[in-house]
Amino acid sequence: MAILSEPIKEPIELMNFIGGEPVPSSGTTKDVVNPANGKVIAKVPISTKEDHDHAVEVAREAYQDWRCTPPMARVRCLFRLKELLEENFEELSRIQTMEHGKTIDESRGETRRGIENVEVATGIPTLMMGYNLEDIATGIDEYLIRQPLGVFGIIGPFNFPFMVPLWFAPYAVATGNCIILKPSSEDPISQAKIVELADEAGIPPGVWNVVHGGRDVVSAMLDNQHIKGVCFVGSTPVGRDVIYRRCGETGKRVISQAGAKNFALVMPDANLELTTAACMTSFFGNTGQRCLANANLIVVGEGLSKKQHEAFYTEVVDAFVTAASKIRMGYGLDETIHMGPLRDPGKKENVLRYIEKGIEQGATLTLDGRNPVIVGGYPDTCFVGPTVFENVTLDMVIAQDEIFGPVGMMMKADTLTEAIAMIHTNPFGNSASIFTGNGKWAREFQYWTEVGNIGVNIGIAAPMAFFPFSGMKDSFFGSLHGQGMESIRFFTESKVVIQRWF
Amino acid sequence: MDNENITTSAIMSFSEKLEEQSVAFYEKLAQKFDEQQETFLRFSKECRKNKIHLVRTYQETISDALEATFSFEALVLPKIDFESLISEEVSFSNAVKGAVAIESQASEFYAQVADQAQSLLATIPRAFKRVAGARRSRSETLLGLLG
Repeated sequence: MAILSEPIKEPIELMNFIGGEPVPSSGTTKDVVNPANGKVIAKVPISTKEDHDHAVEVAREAYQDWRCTPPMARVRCLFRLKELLEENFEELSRIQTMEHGKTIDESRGETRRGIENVEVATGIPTLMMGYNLEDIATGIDEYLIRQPLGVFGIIGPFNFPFMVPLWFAPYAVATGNCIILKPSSEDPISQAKIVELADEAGIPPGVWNVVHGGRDVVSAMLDNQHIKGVCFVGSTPVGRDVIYRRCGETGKRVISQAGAKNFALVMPDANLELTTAACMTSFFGNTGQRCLANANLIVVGEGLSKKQHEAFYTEVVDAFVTAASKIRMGYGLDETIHMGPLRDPGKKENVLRYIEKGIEQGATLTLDGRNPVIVGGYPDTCFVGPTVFENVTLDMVIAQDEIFGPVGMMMKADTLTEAIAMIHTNPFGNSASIFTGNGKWAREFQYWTEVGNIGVNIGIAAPMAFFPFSGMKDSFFGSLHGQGMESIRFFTESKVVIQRWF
Repeated sequence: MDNENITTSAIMSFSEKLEEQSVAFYEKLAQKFDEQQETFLRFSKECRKNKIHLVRTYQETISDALEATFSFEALVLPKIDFESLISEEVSFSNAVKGAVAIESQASEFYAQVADQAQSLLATIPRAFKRVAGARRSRSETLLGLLG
């Protein structure tokens, strides 16, 4: 089977995109490397505070006209953008595979999820409507209008380079704001492509700006008094201690979506075949680099004797390990493979450290992914295969920390209540799944579990674009979430008018 | 490729190619056998629509949540010989018999894909089932041409 053709033939020299045109940065550059084969595919600017602040000035100027542009005219640009994204669907997907490492099926899924946000944002003329009430006192009416605020900052993560910035950007722009978008410097190419398409779609110069870079750009964004709010997806230490804190200090709105350690519960009545298939996607999809990935699997023995529970556990884990063993690793543009590499060698080192730690703390390494077979003979620089630990206890580091790699921890709980309590020992609260045919168990789980996104017989509880992407505890910092109606509220100010005519 | 654990992407690539080859095949038959031109051109048009339908369904349904690492197990990608059926010397009767065989292989393949795709979002198996059904019913029309 041939490898699908690569859309990037030679390394691209990326530039910032400010005021409707590519603008060189005054900073240094960094290589963007395809993690599957180690080839440099782009050079990305590491922009300076000055580059960022210049973009903010351009965006502020553009805002004056854009906020007065009728919502219908604004969304016509988004309709055109949606069409352009569809036309470029395959190229954009292959770029993601090249810059990130995920498989082509995963990239296409990511492209689709990104486009869905553009589609939902085209509903702004309705979504942004306020409300009113006559005669709040005799002869006096009151109404609420939603107004844009100005310039917003968006900081993208490396794990979903195309989709995550689109959780925010279309809503910000559709509501009449302007944006400064900083893609991850590890995989910035698809965002560089999107901003060109946004320009082609007729979004006016200065409305949708991209400033590449790292910490300096983030700091500049947080410090700039004209940035009204920041949307961030990344790790908990940065999301909580830097983004959330600094936004509080500077009076900015903030959506800070952070780390996770998600649990999947398998109840005795679960459909094992479909549960196993869902778990493969959940634990190993995107090579485990996903904040909604399940990492800890609890086999629950509700209503079973000890012996039955033990047998059920063995059945679940055997099916899990057998399926995981069949996952083929390689370059994501090779259509025969199921899992790509981790994003970079540092991330691989991190995952390997956790595997060592798990062994050191006494867990049993049932499936060892440290020396995977790589289809196509690519260098093993970034590859780690599916890894499964048994005899894992909650006090172990591998059960507590977000590993962000293809590592699954197998555990047991006697009852559903005990399993939920186990989830609550973890400081994160992003997502959790239950696999069962029992409605009561599912409801109990949904009702009591303190996480933002619940999956019932769903391994990845990813909210669609018209629902907020939730999160609790150490997984989310802020008040309103991204996507859907909450996003509209985040990007607008509610202004109330009380009116009486003499 | 080995036919174990085939990815969705590989199934889609194969299906696209199958429909493209079928388009060309029926166009050739339409050119060669004037008296049945209308029927063959209709089949060719259907294949073009099949391809669009399958690709659109896949691209509009696939999500990062549901299809990653999914694979079709022990599915055999049929080897379909179009070339020998469009050579100059092939008779009408042999060409039509060959077309019936192609339709049978194709419909069986699509039916297997639909069956194995049951755990995916429902639109995917539905799309493959629809194409399998269309291919199957075409065999009857083709056999009718032989009189």
